[in-house]
Amino acid sequence: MGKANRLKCLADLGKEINEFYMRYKRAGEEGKTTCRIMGYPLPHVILRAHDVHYMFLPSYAATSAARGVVGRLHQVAEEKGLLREVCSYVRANVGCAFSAEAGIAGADHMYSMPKPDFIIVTESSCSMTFNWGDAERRIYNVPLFVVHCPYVWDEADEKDAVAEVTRQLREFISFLQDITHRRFDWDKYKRTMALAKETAGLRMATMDEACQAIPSPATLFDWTSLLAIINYLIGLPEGRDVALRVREEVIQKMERKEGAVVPEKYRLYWDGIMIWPFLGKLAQKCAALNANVIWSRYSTFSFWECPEMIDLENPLEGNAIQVVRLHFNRSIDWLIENITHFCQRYRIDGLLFHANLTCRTMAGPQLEIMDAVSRKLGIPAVYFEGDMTDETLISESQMDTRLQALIETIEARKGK
Amino acid sequence: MKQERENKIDVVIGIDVGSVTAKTVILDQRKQIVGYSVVEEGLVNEESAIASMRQALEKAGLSQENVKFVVTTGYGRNLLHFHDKSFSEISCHAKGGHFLVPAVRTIIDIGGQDSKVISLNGGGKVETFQMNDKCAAGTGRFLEVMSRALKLSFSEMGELGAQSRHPSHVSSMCTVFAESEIISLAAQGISESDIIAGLYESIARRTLSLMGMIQARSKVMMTGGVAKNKQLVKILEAVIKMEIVVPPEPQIVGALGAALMAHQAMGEEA
Repeated sequence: MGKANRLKCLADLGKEINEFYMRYKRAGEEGKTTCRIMGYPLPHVILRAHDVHYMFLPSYAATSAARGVVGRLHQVAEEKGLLREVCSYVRANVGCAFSAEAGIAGADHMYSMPKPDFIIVTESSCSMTFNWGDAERRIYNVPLFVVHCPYVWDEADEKDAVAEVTRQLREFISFLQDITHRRFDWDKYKRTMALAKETAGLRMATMDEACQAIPSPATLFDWTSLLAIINYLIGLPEGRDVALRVREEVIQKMERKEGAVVPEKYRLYWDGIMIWPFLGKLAQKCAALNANVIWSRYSTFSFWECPEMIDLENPLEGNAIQVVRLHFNRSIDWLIENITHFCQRYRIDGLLFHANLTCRTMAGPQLEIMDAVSRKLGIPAVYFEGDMTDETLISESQMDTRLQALIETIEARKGK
Repeated sequence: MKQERENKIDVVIGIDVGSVTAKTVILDQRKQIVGYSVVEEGLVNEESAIASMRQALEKAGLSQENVKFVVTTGYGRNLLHFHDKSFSEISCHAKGGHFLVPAVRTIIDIGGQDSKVISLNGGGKVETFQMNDKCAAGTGRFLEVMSRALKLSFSEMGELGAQSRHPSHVSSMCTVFAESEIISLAAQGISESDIIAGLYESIARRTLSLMGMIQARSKVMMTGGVAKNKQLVKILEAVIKMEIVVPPEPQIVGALGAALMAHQAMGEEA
């Protein structure tokens, strides 16, 4: 039976995240400008450069789920009439909005967050994001700003999409100046973008090197923890420092040929959003089967995945391209081609497709992708339903069976 | 005679601890089935699995002393404290199905809690598979709920289903919604036989969609308790447009596969 040997330097990230939410709460109490972001982590650097405290709602839901406190938030949202079929990230945040009214505010430090001064939606191929922003606008009765990213069918569309998102970001900066009655400091924005570029660049380079190594010194479960440097710490020296520490540990482990799963016998690809409430458990289950989940389009094709395209002389455009290149925003052909390419590059043995029951944007094209990639590479794939945060939609025993069956199929194919 | 057999024979055992029944198959060294059993479980539990094993041993005139290797499969595969190895139902059904009919390329297994389709290569190895999602749609549990709603046994359902001339359309695959749908069909005066045939068709359509996901090929075998329902198999054959082979005892194919795994593992260890 294999053992997990995950990156040790990420163990303290939880403290940084706690501090992030404490700062957000204090900012609200002190009357500083705060906002909520739905969609993609696009405006984080702009907001940081303008000293606006933000709460990124998908991360809020994921963190609450990973800490085991999301169930009560879902309950509160459902008591308010939200259907269980609605995106479980939305339900977690609506639950948060009504946590004081439900009398649970003091039960956990994640349960009650200050009212925002405005809301920003960065919408790309997920219509729910816009509905969600609109719902939060009505709950808090504050202004809403929407950045819409056009769908990118192929490379030819990309230039226009970047120009369009850049134009909307300029409008957003005007909106920001109006709401805060302060001028936007472009020099500070450039400096913050420089840090963001460095941090995101370190993340992407380290992931790529680690994913190529056999055994791989890290696992997808490390990479998902590392998303905190984008969602919570981007544009801060602390975020860059975490990325540097991760790089150092990864290189040391590679030199020692030390894997994240000991021994590493099978290398897997994961498709779909993570199952946040089962993250630790899932990491253990995979390790016990000697399987390392090496990579995912969720961690590699999202979250500032093309920092090399940021021109610091034109930072707004570099900011815009991060959402334009998001995998949600791409055709199935693009996804098949790129997932196949990286599965070959990282020598993947099998594919795990997690269909998020309450995120049909993610789940929609999965069967087609699974079929095509599996056939192109001649490797087995398994598909199972679950959810990113709603534990009631997850069946652990069914997950176990599929995981074991996938490993047995890989083994059987090797022996044919 | 019994004593003599106990003393001489070495056997391996496969136990399929499913969600509704526990099944045991005993194989001798020549891979001959020397005993088997199927025990109703209630909830998945170790006692039922042990009872199934004891029953099979008793039928074969053997005792635990004769057992050299135990492989478990099914949802409760890790419940048994004395098993030597465990494998998923996918691998075991493939192994068992291929052993019985080597030409089989697709296995449909409709069990109590889930339904699955498995694609095999010529050597009997699993190429790919698909399982139903988290709900009980299209499974034995689905039929159990419907039989309760109709106040009929499984065999009565099978007989009535065969008499249908105009199968009704049961649109919902959700067990709960389908139950209320059949109540409203009955209230509209639709005959029980047509409702039952409609239910079977809904299971067949569900299976067809799973088969599409693996691009199923002939020859097709059906395993699991639901395969005993001849009318359902007939409807399924019509929907998938392929002939289906049903082994004489379809419920024990997973346990047989587990026993074959045990036989193989013992050979490897030797």
